Amino acid sequence: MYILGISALYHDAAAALIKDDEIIAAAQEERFTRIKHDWHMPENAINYCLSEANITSMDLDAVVFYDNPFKTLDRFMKNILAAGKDSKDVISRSFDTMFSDRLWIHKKVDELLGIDPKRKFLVCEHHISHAASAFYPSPYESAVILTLDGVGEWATTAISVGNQEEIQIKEEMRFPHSLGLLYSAFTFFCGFKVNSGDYKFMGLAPYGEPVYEGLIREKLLDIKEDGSFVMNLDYFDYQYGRTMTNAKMDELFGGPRREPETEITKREMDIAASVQKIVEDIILRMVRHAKESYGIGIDNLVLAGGVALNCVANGKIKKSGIFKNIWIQPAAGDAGGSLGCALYAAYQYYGLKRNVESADSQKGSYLGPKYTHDEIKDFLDKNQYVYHELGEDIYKRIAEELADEKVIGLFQGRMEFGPRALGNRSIIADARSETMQVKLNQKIKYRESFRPFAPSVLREDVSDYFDLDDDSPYMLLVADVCKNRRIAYGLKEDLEKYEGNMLEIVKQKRSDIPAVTHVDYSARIQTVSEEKNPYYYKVIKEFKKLTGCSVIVNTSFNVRGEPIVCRLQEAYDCFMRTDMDILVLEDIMLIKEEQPEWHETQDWRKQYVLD
Amino acid sequence: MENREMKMFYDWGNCHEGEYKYIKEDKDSNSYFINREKDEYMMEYGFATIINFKTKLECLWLGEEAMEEIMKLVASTTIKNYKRNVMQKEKKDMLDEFIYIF
Repeated sequence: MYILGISALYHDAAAALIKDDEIIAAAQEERFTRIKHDWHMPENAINYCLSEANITSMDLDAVVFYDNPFKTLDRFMKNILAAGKDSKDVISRSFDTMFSDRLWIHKKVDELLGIDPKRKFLVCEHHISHAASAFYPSPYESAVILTLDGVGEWATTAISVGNQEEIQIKEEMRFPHSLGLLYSAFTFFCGFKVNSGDYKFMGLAPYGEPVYEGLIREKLLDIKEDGSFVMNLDYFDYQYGRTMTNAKMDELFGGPRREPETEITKREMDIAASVQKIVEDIILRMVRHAKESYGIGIDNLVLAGGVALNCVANGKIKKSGIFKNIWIQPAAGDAGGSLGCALYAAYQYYGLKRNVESADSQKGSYLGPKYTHDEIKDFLDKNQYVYHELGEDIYKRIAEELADEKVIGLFQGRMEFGPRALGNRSIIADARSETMQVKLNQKIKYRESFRPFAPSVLREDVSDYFDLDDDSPYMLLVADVCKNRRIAYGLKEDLEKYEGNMLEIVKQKRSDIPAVTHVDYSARIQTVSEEKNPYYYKVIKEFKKLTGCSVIVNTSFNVRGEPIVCRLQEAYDCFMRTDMDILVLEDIMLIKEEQPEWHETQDWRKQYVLD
Repeated sequence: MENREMKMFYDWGNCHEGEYKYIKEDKDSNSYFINREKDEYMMEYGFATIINFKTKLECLWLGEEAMEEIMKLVASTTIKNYKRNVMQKEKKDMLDEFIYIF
């Protein structure tokens, strides 16, 4: 039985294909269209999923959409009632997508796949799609499920319980009170983009002090002991279909929001620190409440929804020990809903039995396209690019180049599903280098200097480097660099000394793996195991043999504003456009100096809108 | 407003302003969580005609005065606005940078 799950028409459209309950393929539409966060119907991702299984749309038993359009219509109409005289923007902003697309999702699917009367078309509640994406692939027979996002239909947060095939929502918070929207509002206020700047806002927090925590709690939120809360809507405008915050918020924080791409001041750093602290507090309260109310005898917590990508908060949950085990869906945002709704249909609509796997059934989240050795060679020969076939020597050679402080674009295996590059579409470098963070930000990624980079570390060595002794294969947990590796420095003093110039701050050596140590000594960790990614494991293992260090830098293979590379040509283009030194395509290595002269008629930077 | 239906939705919202209210601050309450009973989270979906669609809206809104009043307009607007293939043919646009789409 083949079931296709689809997420689309909000953010991050994606498709996922399962055969019975085995995940066959999943991919985000943006990777194919090269439009970041592409939200349109994922026709390319669907075509890819079908081709991966070598089937056509006529072989599908069911197509499932990750959201219930009737429930969303209910919210849209009642939002008009709530806004009343101020509802013009609400109506005009959503009218077309509501009445031309979302309600007609069944026809849109028929247009893409062709009409097949045998095929079922199902819709799934948004938070069930998220919950299913977290619970079913997890290695747990039962778990408490926490899903947190902006909004799906009415719900913004849901606490559910999963037991074998069954999932039941116990409690939810509803629009407009939303942790995701609160975070987005402050992301906007600090001059970052709502749909892509959340990571930057999170990365900014360690530079600041939570001096606005009291003000935000007093004026903007009423938080209960169980973590549920309401927002003071006087300060927000999103419920009217406009920008996230309004003039009253400007007044509260002593001036208008930061204009994008302008200097980041102490105010933004302190707001980020304050909001992050409150978000962590709310989430921890919710987790505690979920454990006390629904988790007696259950050691496992699973998470999904866009807020579950807040790996700093995830790290705090892990450290709290409220639940013994946690598992987070790597495609925690809307894209992962495509997988969740398909799995929910398998277990709850078709009644399949669930076989829980001891690791997890996400397959390392390597669920996208890959290229064979022959396809790569054909591509390189056709374009007359210069390359070296290294076979089994590739791992050692990559390690040598890394140790020589070369920056390498690594393109191997199947593309990752989810926003993190996990060693298959990654840019990798030496974590020991003092200059690497600045080089990667400025000359490779062309992004803001303050942003940190993540480490990939051998699973068996993780506790030698970080305050963590557990799996973090999807780079969704933050933990501190071990104390014995840190180098003391004064962040506050340096911020004053350099007048808030974050470039000067990141130049300070903070540990013996400075390129992956954030200014507060934290790191967003990916543990790498031989079972999940043998190729990547061998690379780091060879690097360890050579240098004694089991940690390398891992950042996504793209430049700022560009979706992560999917095809060979995109990888080559990115390699040639940046200061990357080496490109590796499976067991083939390309060296920058040996390549034919690179000409482009247009400035490639104009291709991508800065995120 | 761009079209007649939008204007009619606006007039309806204006006329019934306040008949739906978001959850507000309640210092006496212990929680803002809403309990959910066991429910069907997944359903078969589809409609082709206005009558078909209206029947589904009745299931959704029967007994809610303001919603019953707007049901016919919602149904006719939905049927009228179906545009075959338009979205695929149009140049794909980016998400709004500073507005959350919901």
